[in-house]
Amino acid sequence: MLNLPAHPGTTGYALLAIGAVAGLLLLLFGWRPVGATVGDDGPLTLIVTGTLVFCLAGAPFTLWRVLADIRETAPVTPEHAEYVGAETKLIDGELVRRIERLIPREDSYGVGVSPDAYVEVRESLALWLGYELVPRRQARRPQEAEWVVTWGATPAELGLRTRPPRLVGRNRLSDREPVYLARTRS
Amino acid sequence: MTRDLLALVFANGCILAAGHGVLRAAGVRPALLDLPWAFGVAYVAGAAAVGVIGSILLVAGLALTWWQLVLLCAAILAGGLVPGLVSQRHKPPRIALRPHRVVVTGWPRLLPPATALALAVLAADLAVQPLWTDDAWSIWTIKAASVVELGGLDPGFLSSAAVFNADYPLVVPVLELVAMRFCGLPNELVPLQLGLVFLAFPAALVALLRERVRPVVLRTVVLAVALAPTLQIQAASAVADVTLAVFFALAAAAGWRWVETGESQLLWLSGVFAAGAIGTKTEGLVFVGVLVVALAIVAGGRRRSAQLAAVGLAAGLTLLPWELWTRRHEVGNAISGAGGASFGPVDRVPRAGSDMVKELVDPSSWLALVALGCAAIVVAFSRRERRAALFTAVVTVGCLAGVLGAYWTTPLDFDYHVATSVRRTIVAPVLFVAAMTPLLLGRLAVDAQRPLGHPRD
Repeated sequence: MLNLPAHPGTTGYALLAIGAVAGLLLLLFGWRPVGATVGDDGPLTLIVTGTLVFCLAGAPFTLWRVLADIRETAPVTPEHAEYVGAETKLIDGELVRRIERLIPREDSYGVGVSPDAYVEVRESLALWLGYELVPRRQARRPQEAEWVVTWGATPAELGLRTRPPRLVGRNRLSDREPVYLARTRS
Repeated sequence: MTRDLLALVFANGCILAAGHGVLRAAGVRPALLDLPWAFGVAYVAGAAAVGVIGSILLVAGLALTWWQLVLLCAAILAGGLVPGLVSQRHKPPRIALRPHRVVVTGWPRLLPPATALALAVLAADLAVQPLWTDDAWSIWTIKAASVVELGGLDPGFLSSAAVFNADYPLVVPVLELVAMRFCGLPNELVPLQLGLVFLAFPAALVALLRERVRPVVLRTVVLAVALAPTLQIQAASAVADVTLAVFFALAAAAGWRWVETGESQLLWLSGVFAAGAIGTKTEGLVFVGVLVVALAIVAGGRRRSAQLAAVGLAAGLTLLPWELWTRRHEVGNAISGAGGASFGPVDRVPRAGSDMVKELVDPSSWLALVALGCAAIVVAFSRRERRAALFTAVVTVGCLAGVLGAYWTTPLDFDYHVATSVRRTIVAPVLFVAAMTPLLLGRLAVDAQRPLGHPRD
């Protein structure tokens, strides 16, 4: 869930407290009705009551968290939703959209990332480009591709021989590192 | 959005119809009054069948366009209905319309509405959830998107660096294709489409077990499932683990009911769910293998073992076309890319085991579900359900041992692998225990031998 509250906060703690009180009341007063329903079977009464107590105690907070996620996530527009996954990895999805428009669908590309980039970007950029740039093929070695995308450094700074690179833009989600696109020499 | 939702309703109506065909083909004919519950089991069976057959059709070169998906569902429905119509000329219908009912009074009647409320809130969340988790887009959705963009499976694309774990099976991409084909690419309804399998799970479990177990126990278990935070969160993450868990848990529940009743339709139904589990994730094959061995031990008898072996083999063979395709086109995964699995230091076993136990006992993930399952095994073992308790414990331990083996032999960074996956890999064993819990605790005094859809005489 994209916007699940990371911490309970005042509302969450209040709901946890309410749930705990409700669970306690169920434990005190629900024992006999549950026992009567399951046929005065002691262990079964204990298990069913205990489960219901946990469910009742946790339900208000659990459902509130989901409702909070709905409230925060519902306003995300369909256009934004398409690259919100990139943003969770500090990758500017709009920059990738620009790259998508520049590389023909049938061409291949390689990816280079500056070692100074955030770890999220280093670990996820190639995978996000793989998903976002479908059906373009991603080469395992950038030199074998027709295009090279570099993040946070020019192709030359990453040791890649290309034609003069084009600055696609700067990443708005971290240190405004530059993003380049270049044709390879092959 | 409204148009997309309507298209999704139509598409899933087709899956439901296909599931009805699966039930009929297996010989299950739910009574009319049981339809609300039967919808759940029909939907999950339909999703498994469409996912598994759709995977084979993708390998065969089809692109699974919207009309091909409709035709596929229609063919599955017809496959279930036509033999029944033909045989009805010669035999009277086996199923009456009045189902056996266990009358529920008092406070337990509140439990289904509470479960429905929890599932409705989750469904609303799924409807607004974008596709954002990295496993979702880098492993599963990318395959479905590539099928749409390239007009089918493309070995050149899948063997490129673009796809992570490209050789993972295709049931989840096929289910995502349903949303993409009917609602367009890209669309934000993929998490809802994939989450429907989990939303249908409580009703499916009730349909399979309701005439065998005490309603109060069954209703308590499905409420605990619906409220388990980690299941809600993972269902909204559009990853495959919850889907795998649902198929596996239902395969086990139906398989156990077959052991009890000897009704072959439950075994066939179990086989459909098992094929779904195998076609969803790699570990599904291990889990189903453990399940089949355990069922064979408890079922006993040469004839029943042969039946079980045939169904298990058929379920396993559904994965063969995809396996052959990936080997032929050298499509691999992160493990094979890192040199393949090999035994690492032995201390990995207790370390991974301790992380698994920590996840299992975390009440903020499961609320009461794990504790309930453990208590059920202990109580059942001390009573006449000793065989069921042993079966549940052995399958659970076997599945967890399989996961532990994967961590022991991983060529990836061990700590990273465990930290990023342990919460997901334990879902299937936990949901299996949850599905078995009503059977462990809630045997009805009478009528334990009647399968799904059969009325009381």
